[in-house]
Amino acid sequence: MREGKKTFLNIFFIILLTVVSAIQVMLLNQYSTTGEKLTFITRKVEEVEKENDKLSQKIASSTSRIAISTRAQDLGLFKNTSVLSLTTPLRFAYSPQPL
Amino acid sequence: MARRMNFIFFLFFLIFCLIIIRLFLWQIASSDRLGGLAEKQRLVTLTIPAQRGKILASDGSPLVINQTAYGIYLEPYKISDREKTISFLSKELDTDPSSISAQIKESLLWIPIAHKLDEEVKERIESKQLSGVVFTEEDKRYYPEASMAAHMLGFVGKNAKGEDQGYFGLEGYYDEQLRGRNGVVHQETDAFGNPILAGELTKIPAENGRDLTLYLDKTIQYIVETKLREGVERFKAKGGSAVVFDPESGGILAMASLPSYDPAIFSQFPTEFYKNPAISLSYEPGSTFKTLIMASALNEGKVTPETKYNEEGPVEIKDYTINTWNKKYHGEITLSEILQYSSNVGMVFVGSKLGKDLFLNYLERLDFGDLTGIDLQEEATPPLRSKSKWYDIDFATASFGQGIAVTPLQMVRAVGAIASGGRLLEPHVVKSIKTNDGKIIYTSPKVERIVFKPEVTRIVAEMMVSAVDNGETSRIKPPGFRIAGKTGTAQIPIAGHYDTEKTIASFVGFAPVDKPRFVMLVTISEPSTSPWGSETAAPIFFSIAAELFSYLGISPSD
Repeated sequence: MREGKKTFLNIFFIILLTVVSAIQVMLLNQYSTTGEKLTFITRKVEEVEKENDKLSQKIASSTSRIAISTRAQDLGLFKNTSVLSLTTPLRFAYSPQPL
Repeated sequence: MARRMNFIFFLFFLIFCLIIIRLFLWQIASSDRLGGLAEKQRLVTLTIPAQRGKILASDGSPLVINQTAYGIYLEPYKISDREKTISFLSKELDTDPSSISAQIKESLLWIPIAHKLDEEVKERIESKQLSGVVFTEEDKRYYPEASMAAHMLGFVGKNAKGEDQGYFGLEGYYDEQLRGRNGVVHQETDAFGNPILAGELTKIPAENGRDLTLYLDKTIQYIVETKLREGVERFKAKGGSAVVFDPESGGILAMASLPSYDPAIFSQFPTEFYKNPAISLSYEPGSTFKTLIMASALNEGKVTPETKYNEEGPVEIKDYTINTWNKKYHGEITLSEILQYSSNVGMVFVGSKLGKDLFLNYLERLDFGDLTGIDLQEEATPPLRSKSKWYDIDFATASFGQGIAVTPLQMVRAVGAIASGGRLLEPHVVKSIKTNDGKIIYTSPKVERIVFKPEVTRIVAEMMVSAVDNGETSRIKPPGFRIAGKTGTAQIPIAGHYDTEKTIASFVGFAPVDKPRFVMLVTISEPSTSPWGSETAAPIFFSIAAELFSYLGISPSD
C-alpha cells in the first residue's frame, strides 16, 4: 500500500514537471513569436502610413489650384470677362410702408 | 599529510579570494560600465521622428505637407567598384564626380552623400544594386501649389547642426511650433532584433509639429499672383508686390511679390529673392500717403469737408519750390479735389493745417517706424526720424508721401484703418493652430488702437471714391462698382537725390466702400513703359479687384 502511494506520487510529480515545462516552453515560444509578429505589424503600419502619405500627396497635387486651372484650360474652359450682376427682385405685393 | 592539507586549503582560499576580487571588480567597481554594455546588447534605443506640421490655406487645403524622401550614404569598405559607383551616383545626383570622390575616405564607416532625394531617384540607384550604397528615410516638404505664396511660406533648410530648420516667412516664424519634438523608445530585443514583449519598454511618444491654418485664400492668392506677374511683364518692371488685407479680422488674404522663388528648390535661386519685399522693402509711398494725412487733419478738425484751397501756383518753402505733379493749377479746389487732382501743393496746405506735432503724432499712431507685428520672419521697418530731425521741408514733402519711407504692409494696414472705421488692426497670417492633441487655438483679431473717428473714415472713403471715379483711373476701373482708391508715384532716392528715371508706382484702395471686404495695395518697382501709378499699378489693382468681386460675390449695388 505504502509502496503504491510512493509510485503514484512519483508519477504525479513527473507529469506535473512535464506539464509545467511544456507550459513554460509554450509561453516562451508565444513570447518570442509575438515579438516577431509585432515587428511585422509595425512594419506593415509604417508601409500603410507611407502609402497614405503618398496618396495624400497625390490628392493634394491633383486638386491644387494650378492643376485645376491647367486642366480647365486643356478642356477649353475660359474665364468669363463680362460679369452680369442681378439684384434681388422685390417680393410680390411688397410695400415699403406698413399697410 | 597536514602540509598537503594546508596547501590545498591555502590554494582553495586563494582561488576563493581571486573569485571574490573578480566579482567585486565586476559587480561593484565596474558595475555601471558592464551594466551599460549589457543594456546596449539587449536594449535598443529608437528615435521616433516627429513630423513637421502642415500649412493649410483658409479652406483647409494643403499648401505645405510632408513627403518621404531619402538620404544616401556610402560605406567605403563595402564598395566593390569605386569608379562605377561614383560615376553612376554623380549622374543621378547631378553632381561633380570629384566632389563625391573627395568625400570618400577609407577610414570612415559611412559617409553622407546627399539628402532629401525623391523616391524615383532612390529606386533608380537601388536598381543598379551597387554595393556599399545605403539609404535612410527622411522627411521633405512638399508644395502641391508649387511656388504659390513662396514669400509667405518660407522654406526648410539645414542649420549648423545639420538639422532641419525653417527659414523666412511662416517656416521661420513658427519653426518651434511646426518642428514638434522627436520621441524615443527603449526596448528589450531578442537575438534577431524582435522586441521581447515581457521585457523592458520605455516609450516617450513623438510630438508632431502643429498644423497652421492661414487666412490666405488660395483662389485670391492665385488671382493676385497671376495678375501681378502679367502686370510686371506688361509694364516691363523690375518687380512688384501686392497685399490683400481683410479689414475686419486683420488677416492677410493674399500676399505676393516678384521676383519670387520655388521653396522646393530654394537653393537654386539667388539669396536676395528669399526676403519678402511686402514686409521688408522700404519705399516712399508717394501720393497714396495723402489719404492718411487728409484723414488725420479731418480727424483733428483742422480742416472740414467744406474747406477750400486756392491752388494758384507752386509753394515756396525756404529754398525749395513745390509744384503739382503735372504743373497744372486749378484755382479754388475742395479737399476732395486735392485728392482727385493728387495736388502736392494742396497737401502741403492740409499738412500745415494739421501742424507739426499732430503730424508726427499721427505717424506714430499709425505705427510708422514700428513693426506691424505680423507673424512672418524677417519683417523690417524703416525708422522714423526723431522729432528734432524734422525740418519744414520734411513736413511739406511728407504730406504728399515723399521723404518718408514705409513698407507695403505698413501702408496697406494704415489705409485699412480708414476701411475699418478707424481701427488699426494687427495683421495676421495664421488664423488657427492645431495642436498635437487636436486642440485648435484661434488667432483673434487684435485692434491696436482707434486712430480715426468712423465719420471721418466715411468722408475720406468718399474722397477716395471720387479720386477713382473722376481722376486718372476713371476709365480703367470696373464699371458700376464703388472703389475707394489712390494712386501713388514715388521717385527712388539714390545717394541723397532722386533718380528721375526710376519710380515705384502704387495703388492702394478698398471695396466695396460701404462694407469693405478687402484692402489692397499694389506696388510696381521701376516700370519701364510708364512711371505713373495710374498707368501701371492701378490697372493691376482693378484687374485683381474685378476678379475678386466675382469670386467674393460682390455686386455693383454693394
